[in-house]
Amino acid sequence: MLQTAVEGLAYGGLYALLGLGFFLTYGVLRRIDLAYGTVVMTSVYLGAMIAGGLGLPWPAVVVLTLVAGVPLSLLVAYIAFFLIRQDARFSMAATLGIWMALEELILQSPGRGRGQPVSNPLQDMSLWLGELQLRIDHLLIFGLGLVIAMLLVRFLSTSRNGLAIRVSAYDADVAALLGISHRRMMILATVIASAVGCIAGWSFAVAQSGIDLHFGMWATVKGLVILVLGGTQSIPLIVTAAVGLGIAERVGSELIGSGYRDLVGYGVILLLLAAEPFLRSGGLRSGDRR
Amino acid sequence: MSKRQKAEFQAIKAFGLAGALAVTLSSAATSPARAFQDEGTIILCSIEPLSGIGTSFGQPNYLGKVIAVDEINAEGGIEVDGKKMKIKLISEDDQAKPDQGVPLFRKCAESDNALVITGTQYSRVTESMWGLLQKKLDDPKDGGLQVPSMSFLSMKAGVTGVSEWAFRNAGDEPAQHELAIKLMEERYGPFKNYSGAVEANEGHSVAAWKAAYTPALDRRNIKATEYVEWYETDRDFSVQIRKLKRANTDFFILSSHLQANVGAMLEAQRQGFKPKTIISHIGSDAAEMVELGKQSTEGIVFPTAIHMAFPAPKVKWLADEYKKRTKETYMPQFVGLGYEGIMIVKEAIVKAGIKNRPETLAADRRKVRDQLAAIRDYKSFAGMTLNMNANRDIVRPVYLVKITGGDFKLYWTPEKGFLF
Amino acid sequence: MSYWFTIAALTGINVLLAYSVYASFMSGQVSIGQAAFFGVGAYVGASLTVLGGFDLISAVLVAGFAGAAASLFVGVPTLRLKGYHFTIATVAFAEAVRVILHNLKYGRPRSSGNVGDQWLGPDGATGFRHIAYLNENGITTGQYALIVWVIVVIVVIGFFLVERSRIARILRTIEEDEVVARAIGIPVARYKVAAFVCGGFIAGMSGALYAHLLTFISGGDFIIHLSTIALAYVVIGGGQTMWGPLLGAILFTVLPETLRPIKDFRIELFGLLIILVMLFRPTGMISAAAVRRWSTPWAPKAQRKRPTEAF
Repeated sequence: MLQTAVEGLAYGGLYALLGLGFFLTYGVLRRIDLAYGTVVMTSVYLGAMIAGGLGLPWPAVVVLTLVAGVPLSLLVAYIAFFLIRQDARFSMAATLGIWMALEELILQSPGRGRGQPVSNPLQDMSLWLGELQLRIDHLLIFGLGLVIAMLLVRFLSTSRNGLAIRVSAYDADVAALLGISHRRMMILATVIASAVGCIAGWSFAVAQSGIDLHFGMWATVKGLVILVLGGTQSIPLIVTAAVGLGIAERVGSELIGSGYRDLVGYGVILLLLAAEPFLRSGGLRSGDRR
Repeated sequence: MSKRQKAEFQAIKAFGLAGALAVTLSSAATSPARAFQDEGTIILCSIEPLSGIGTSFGQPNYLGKVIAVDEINAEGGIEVDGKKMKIKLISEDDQAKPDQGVPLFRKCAESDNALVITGTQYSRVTESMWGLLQKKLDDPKDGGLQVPSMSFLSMKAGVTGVSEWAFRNAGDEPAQHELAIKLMEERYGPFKNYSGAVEANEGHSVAAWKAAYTPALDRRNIKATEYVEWYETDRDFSVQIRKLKRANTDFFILSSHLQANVGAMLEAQRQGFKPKTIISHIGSDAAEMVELGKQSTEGIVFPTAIHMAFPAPKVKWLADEYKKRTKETYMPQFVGLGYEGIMIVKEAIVKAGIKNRPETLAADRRKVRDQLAAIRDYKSFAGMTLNMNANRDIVRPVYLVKITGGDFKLYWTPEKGFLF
Repeated sequence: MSYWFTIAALTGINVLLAYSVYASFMSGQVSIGQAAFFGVGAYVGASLTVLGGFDLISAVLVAGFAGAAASLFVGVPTLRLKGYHFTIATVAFAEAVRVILHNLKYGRPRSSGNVGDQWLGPDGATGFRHIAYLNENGITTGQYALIVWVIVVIVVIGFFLVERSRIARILRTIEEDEVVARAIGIPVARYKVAAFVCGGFIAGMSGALYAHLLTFISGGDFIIHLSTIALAYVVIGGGQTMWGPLLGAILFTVLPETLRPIKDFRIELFGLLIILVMLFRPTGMISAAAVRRWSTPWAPKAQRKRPTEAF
């Protein structure tokens, strides 16, 4: 059980990274980006495919992923959130279209949608504490998640740009009055969110030694779940929710098996949401409406 | 024009345009199907996932069929009613989605007037397509379609039970696994703990577990020591692998497909879980197992239908032909099954003595169906002899391949036994 | 021809699915969980004809009520939520239902089945086979398409009447501003739940029709993709009037079929189409203004405001 919980903790670090990307997109743009996971998947996939094709060493995959991912995210944000901004529902539909188009693009790529290997330099390295196995790569990923989360907290609470993003997220009109360019803040937030997402996707692919099509939708759903659990208010809450989810999933499949494992997760979300209007803790701001 | 009027005008234009486009395209799509009968060609249909998630299975299978049709046509075609007729293979893409497969199956049967419909790859889609067929022959109360259909790789046990017009060239899965287990026991046994892992969202993997592995264990009076499930989309297998390891599993049955297999085996390697024997089900012997799994998948044994390492020269020829057309060096068994399937259909057509005229279509289809049901001692290009059983599954000898040194090596053949 | 009849039946089923989204969309609620009610309807409808000996129409109606019950169950607690939280709740519910359907086993043994085919009724992940009502009763594809479209027409007429009644105006008021709606005395929660339950009913019927057309169903049919595409029908066709979902669903079902000649690039065009429509005609292909312009004098003259801007 302890072993399972420890592994859950490591996955919590990965979920935290995914959740943070979602948090930034939703927090700043007030938009649900259904293409989020697919964009990350596409970037890592392209990175792995190109690096594999050219025989480049593993660090090249990170670089290529970021090179593909950041512009792609900007393009998505430009189309779905900037050009289409009348109604959040339209933006969401556009991200749905992007999701479908990207998946098909991967299928038509030279990789033909087949899983791409991503080499894990730490594949067999583990620390053994008695019976307890700690994967070195998991420890690194968990650390990476924490460091990035802390950097983001610092950035958003102390730096000039970070504060500007928050003002802009709170109210675009107020931001304009203060002389903050909403558009610039949107770009900045998108770049950060996509970089975080790409790093999450890449570290995930490394931990699993490969990337395939399923990752896209999976990442989007996980991100949404973490957003619901953690709320849209604070980064520590997001990280806590992510770690909680990671542990609960592992312990859940240990105790009740995989068949109904997901049911527990979704049940918790439904309960939380159903109870939310009564709790009103942390209260959703009126600005949250769409 | 005001801004709003302009917008409205555009809306009307867009609507009209879309409508016009739909009408033109739909008429374009239906018309070419008509002419074939006069040209004196034999129409076969191929429904496979050529885009979407099933592409990496459907494309090779389709290519195998194309290679076979090209070869038959290069020899002038099939002799029908005294003259040679070429085969026309109509290809449709079901994207591995049942709501695409169902209309396509009807199109092939009723618009294209195909003599035989081949496909499809995904059991889920095959189930829906074959549900359209007449359940029992000569049942006047049953309004189902009456056209022979043969799938070359819908693995799910029991699918052909849906209709007497449905055939499969996928091998008798329960027999394959029984044999695989028996052989491994003879060579490496006795085993103490048999455990299984099942990909719970995959109909084929679940059906294989229920209809093939469980009965095989029952016959030995064995209850699986440990049984775990995972999903195709799962990324983490640590809990399941730990359970299997804790159960001291020495005979590991991996009833799951390649993507999950790779993740699970990498985790097994990490946890130091090394059962004496691992067997997996057919259809998992894809190149990804080695490319992605590297060392971790070493030693897994699969039953296979046709493997590129078979000694028959025609297999080598097919692998070369496949490589020429796709530049892929590893030929999945789906290519061979597609190729062989068309050849079996050809055999049935030749024997059926069809007339291939519009008015004889129903009779021709029935004759071909009966010939397919009566396939006995058919000599495959790959060297083995095939028979159709009462469940309309082609019974074929089982071969085993084993992942050795980063490659799939032929491991056991009925003729020579273990090769290494 | 039966190919196009099948497409017609599928189109009708998708139109119904689109209207099930539209029902609550009118009050501003976005559901990405219609697959749940669709799936419940499919399982209930198929069980009734296969195991219970019901006729098709009764089965479809009961399936509708099952869908409605499921939507009542999820709607009452979650429709109080604001904005996206309701949407996410529907996603979670749909996924939960999928997991349940996936593990469901009931029915009775078949005496004469092949190996692996000895169960009548849903058999967990193996799925639900032998939904052979159409073949057994000699219903042709053309007749089935007709049955589906009769139901579609009834639903369309229903929406046509609602659209011209006070109810629609109330729902649109809720969509535009819930606070205002509450202030002028509209029982907001009751209307939202009622609209959502109507959607559940339509989705349930649609699911039962789907099960009989497909002859085989399994939990994997009712994944999140289905819900998102149902939503896309409405958003593309236009969520401001009842003609939008109709056009969206028809276009989405028929266009990919007509695009078969350009095989390899089908989905890309499809995804691209969504993006393009959202870019150049974000109100959907048919907007309320356009309908007012086309419609004859009996249409309500009152000018309706466009939905509120998000920013």
